[in-house]
Amino acid sequence: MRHTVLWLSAIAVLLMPPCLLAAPDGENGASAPNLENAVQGTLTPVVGHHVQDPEGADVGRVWDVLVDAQGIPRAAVIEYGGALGFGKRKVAVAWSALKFGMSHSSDDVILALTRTQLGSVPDFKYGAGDATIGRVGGAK
Amino acid sequence: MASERSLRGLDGVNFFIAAVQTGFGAFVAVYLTENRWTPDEVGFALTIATICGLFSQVPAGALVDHLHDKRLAIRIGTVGVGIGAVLLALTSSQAAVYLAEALQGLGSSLIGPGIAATSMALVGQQAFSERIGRNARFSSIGNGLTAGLMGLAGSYLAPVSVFWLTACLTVPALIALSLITYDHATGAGPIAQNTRNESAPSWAGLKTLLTDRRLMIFALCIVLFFLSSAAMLPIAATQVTQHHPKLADAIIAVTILLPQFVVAVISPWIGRKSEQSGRRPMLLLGWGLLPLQGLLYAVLPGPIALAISQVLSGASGAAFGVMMTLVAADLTRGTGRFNLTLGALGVAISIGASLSTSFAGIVAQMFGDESAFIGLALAGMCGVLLLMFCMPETRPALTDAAPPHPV
Repeated sequence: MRHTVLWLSAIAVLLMPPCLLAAPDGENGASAPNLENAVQGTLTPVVGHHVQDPEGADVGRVWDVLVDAQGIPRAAVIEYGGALGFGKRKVAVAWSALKFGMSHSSDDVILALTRTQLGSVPDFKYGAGDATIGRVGGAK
Repeated sequence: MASERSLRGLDGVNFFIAAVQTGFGAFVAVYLTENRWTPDEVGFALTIATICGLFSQVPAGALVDHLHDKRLAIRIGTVGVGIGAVLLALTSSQAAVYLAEALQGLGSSLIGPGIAATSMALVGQQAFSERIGRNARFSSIGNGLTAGLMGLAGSYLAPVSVFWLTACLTVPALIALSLITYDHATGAGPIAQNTRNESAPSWAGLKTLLTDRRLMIFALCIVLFFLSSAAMLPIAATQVTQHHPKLADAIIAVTILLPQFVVAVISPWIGRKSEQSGRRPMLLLGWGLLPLQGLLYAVLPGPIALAISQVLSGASGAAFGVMMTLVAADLTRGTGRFNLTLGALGVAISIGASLSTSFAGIVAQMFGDESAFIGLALAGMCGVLLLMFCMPETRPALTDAAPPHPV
């Protein structure tokens, strides 16, 4: 009995890695596409990028980009605030409220709204029908 | 009673292991996000630890019951968690992170029961209540100090420094563990004496456990405790972020650490008190504070409610932590199923906590945050009523004719 339990525990541990180690290795297209060169540095990854308010203070980071039916970005979901895993908020802001390549270090993204202004934008929820979007010059 | 050295060692084990555990969770989320993991991927990685913990708790409890030297469980668990921390520090590749999270979940399942069992073996049933209170004190100091330190290291050095710190902290944890030794003079030591009549873990043992009515009631109370408490802080903290943009982050950081200090201060008192006046008053204290917190949040939003509630949450958390271990010990006295029971109650915690977030989320979306707080308060109230009318006193009679082993 004693051994049964020990063996079962050992087997349980040994069974773990195969499913955990199955990591996808990058994205490979099906057929060879036409290739185009872009200079690294002129393209900025947006999702996960930190955004700053007009005074240069860190506001939060881009959580997601919302596009319209044509694939044109209309809004960004910004996640901000909190400490030790608590108190984060997500709000949607108009795409036009994000300014790219404005400041000295070129990959900074400026959000034309302050945290105080973000406070009056309601929480963004996925799949909730209408989304209220914060834009510059809107709600005080 | 065990030697002074062993007891100080146990203090150290509680302190440093809590410190080691702090590095996982919130800090992993920050680290992975900085490494451009998508939110879904981060969520999945954190779920691995939860799932591993959930499914390993009961088997790990049975294993600890079965172990002759309970220190072994702590040692293996700590080394596992330490390896996890090193993996995280070295790479943010998916395989390594998943493995690290799994190691953390599995390790924690061994460490919790391991510490409880080692404490029991060291001090015996008589001094157990006070010891559990003392354990909670050192854990919360370790947890609070490390969270503060790691918060600073993560912001001012690099997110990855948190995991090197975590890995380093396993060394003093293992050193403290090695201070706990068998005392030839008194016969007290980490080798449990009351294991001699223990049955091997078996389905029959699990069945006996599952048919104990008191244990079922207590497990349900635990589900209600976490159903009521788990979602309160997240909702309240988000409100503070929304309405107090300037100081929100600092307020939240401070109020998250507040309960740790409350737990450190009052846990030994709770242990002592539960030995003098019984378990029921302390249980009612712990559960009774929950509806109060919910109501506070509902009527008095903002940082003040958050601060007061977090102090109350420290008090109820301290009562909960100490009483869960003690009631488990009471109900399994002499059966050799103490740790199996702790594992099963750990599952009840996970169930309650996960239900809480979904329940509060749904209510908040339909009726607003205030209603969610009221709903959570009501869940706590159900726990209080269940305790009051269905849960018997479990403290063994003071003049116990047959203590489990000589003191």
